[in-house]
Amino acid sequence: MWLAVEGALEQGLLYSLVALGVYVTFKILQFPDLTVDGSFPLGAAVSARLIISGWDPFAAIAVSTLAGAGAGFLTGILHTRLRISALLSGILGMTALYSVNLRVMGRPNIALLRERTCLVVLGELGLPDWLGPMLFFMLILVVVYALLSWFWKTLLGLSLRATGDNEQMVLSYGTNPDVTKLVGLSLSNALVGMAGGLVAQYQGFSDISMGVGTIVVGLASVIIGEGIFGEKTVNHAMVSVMGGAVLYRFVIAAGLRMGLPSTDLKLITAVLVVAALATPRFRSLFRVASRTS
Amino acid sequence: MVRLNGVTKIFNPRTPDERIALDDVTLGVEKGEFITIIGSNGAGKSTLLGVIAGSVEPDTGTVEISGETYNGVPEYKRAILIGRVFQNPFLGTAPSMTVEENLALAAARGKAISLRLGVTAPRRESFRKLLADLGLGLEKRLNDRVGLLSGGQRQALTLLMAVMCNPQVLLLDEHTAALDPRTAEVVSSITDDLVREKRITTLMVTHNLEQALRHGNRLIMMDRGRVIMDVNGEKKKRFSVSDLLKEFKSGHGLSVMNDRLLLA
Ligand SMILES: Nc1ncnc2c1ncn2[C@@H]1O[C@H](COP(=O)(O)OP(=O)(O)O)[C@@H](O)[C@H]1O
Ligand SMILES: [Mg+2]
Repeated sequence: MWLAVEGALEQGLLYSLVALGVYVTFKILQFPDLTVDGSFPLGAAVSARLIISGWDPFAAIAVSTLAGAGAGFLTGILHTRLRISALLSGILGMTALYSVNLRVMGRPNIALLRERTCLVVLGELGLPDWLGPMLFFMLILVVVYALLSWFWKTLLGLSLRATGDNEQMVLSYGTNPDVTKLVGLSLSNALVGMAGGLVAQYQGFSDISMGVGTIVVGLASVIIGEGIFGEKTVNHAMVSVMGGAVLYRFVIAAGLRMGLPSTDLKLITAVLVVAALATPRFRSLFRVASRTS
Repeated sequence: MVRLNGVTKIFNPRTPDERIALDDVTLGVEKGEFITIIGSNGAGKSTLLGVIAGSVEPDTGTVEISGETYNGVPEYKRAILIGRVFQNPFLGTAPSMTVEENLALAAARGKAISLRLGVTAPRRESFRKLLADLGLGLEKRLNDRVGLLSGGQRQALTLLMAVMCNPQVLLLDEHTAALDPRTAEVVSSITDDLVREKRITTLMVTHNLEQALRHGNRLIMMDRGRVIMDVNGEKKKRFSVSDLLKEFKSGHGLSVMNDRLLLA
């Protein structure tokens, strides 16, 4: 029992980063970005490849984060320069990344079981096995939260928020909304890439198909979080979204314990998102995802 | 200050939906002028402002602001020179952001790609003073989301934001039309105060003939993409609504004023 709780909590913390990334695009920018299905496994692939090549696992996380940012940036270029729709830009990005990820790994999966991952290094610090990862993930989240919370108050952060709210206003006050979209997409996918890198190290492998449905998991977390915990300010919404990611993991863990086959998880998640979007209260929270937008 | 030379804009050219929005318009606007613009629906008033702001690129003709040609310069790059308020109160502000956050973006006009904090203590103080001058009690609502404000409050805030960095030109497109008459009156008088205080060159589109006569020192009338009347100075001061209607019907062989305009 405790093991399941611990696992759900750890995964919830990691997937909070995905949820925050999805929050940045879907909620702040009002940009339905699907790149995350490619940037999550990209982060994982990069970390795995670097670690088996002897890199420091923390440096690998940093590179995973940068790789994610690059992926988001490229989707942004498709949208802003080539004027391809938001959805299609993301789909193209995600599809291209599938091949990129295979190239990065050189094969469909890499096991990290005997490699020196972040968790191995943490274990060497002498912390109990259940505590080390939890503290590490929480530390990352606190730092990410603090940075984002500061960022939303800067002029660039304000411009980014205004872009999703009212693009005409951004133009009227002398900012090119293409720039803020590029920044937002890079930021979002950086968070997701980081999550991918951490998840690969946490679970001990990277697999080419581990990104499938990342977007839906992220959306589920954002919807659950905002619906249950509220979204009065950006800071409030970010905490809610992280809470949603953790809660989502607990729901899944509970479902598995009750005997749901793990192969049905994606279906259940999708049904969860559909049910939420069909509820007027949730729907109004989610303009881009619902058809009335 | 602003010069349009032979500006033509045709939407959907060579299709059944072709619309001649501006038809060879030449217009000079002097520094400090406050021009009111009237004309029936579809006369090209919004397009005229759009061509100056850069949201509409003319097919032919040149657009000059302060002696420089701005053809092909994107809207966001002209924004340092131009303040703009639309009819729709939702276009001027970001509803999910607070009043002070909106003001911070306006105050940083053209310099918002920066990691400096938007709202600082001294800036908050200056926002408070500016808002207090509006007389709408907004100075007490710095931390409220703009989405919670009424249409009139939002338009007043948008005006304040539009003139914040002392733009060279202020473009107002029926900015009181969506408001109830009393609120429209308040926003109109705020407009007058701000324009006079800052001596901004202003072009104001209105469908309200009385408003067009009462405000500004020059009045132009548009029809089918052309400027069909242009009066200023003493002549404009002596003009009455019935003179305007006469002007419409006579001379130009036009009786295109729509009901909205006549009844306004
Ligand atoms: N973006 C556009 N696409 C197609 N036609 C347009 C567009 N903008 C304006 N028009 C047409 O151009 C003409 C002038 O429009 P507009 O400048 O908005 O008039 P006004 O503001 O005087 O009512 C109208 O016939 C209108 O239908
Ligand atoms: Mg108009």
